[in-house]
Amino acid sequence: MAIFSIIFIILAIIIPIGIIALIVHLIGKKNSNNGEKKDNFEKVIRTIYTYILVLAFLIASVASFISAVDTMADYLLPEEEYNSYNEDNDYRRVALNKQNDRNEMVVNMITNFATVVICVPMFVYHMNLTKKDK
Amino acid sequence: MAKNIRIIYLYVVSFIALVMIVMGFIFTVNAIASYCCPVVYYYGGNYYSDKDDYSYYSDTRYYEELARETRNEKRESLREGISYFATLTVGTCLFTYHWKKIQNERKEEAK
Repeated sequence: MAIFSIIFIILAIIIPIGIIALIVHLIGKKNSNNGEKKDNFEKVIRTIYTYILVLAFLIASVASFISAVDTMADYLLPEEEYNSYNEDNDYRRVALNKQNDRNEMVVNMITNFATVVICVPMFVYHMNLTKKDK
Repeated sequence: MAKNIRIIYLYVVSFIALVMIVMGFIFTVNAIASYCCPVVYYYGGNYYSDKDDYSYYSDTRYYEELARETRNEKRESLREGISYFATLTVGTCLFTYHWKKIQNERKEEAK
């Protein structure tokens, strides 16, 4: 599905940037003692982890919601395809194609709403984590 | 150094497990929806015949073949659903274990 491709592409961009930022931070950072260094390192990792997830879940929620609403609109207001339906003499194929199109829309709608259902609480949870860690 | 590697390991595995949970959940729901509303593209005929149009088939044969294809699609959806549910379960266990480890270590350091 297009949504998952978008999510994977965004993660593929964000994760290397996060890793590079971490390496730069580790090379540039000078700490007074080992205890502080360990705490800072853990905090950096945690921050990167939390923000990557916040961004990914936000994008996934928004994209899935828009896609679900779009599919719902297509389902409620179907487009008549002149060539496929009106010139075809086989009523069985016409009926089957129509049914298949409707079924596919229902499946896509349910899948997109399920994505929203799981991504929104994850987004809220990790957003609260970023506030707690401040 | 070892502590740093441990921290990276815990967070990376938590991240991957979380992705497994999300994907497992979404694809399980997708498989259930596909089971309830199967998409069956049956055009009849066979690869060796020019007549790949099912207009040439009688109603009885057509509906029999369609029913068979529908059953196959439903079984395929069920198999996929089981597989993705397993992914969801494994992801949940992994995430719970590693996230608890992270939380416990943070509590110990805070003390």
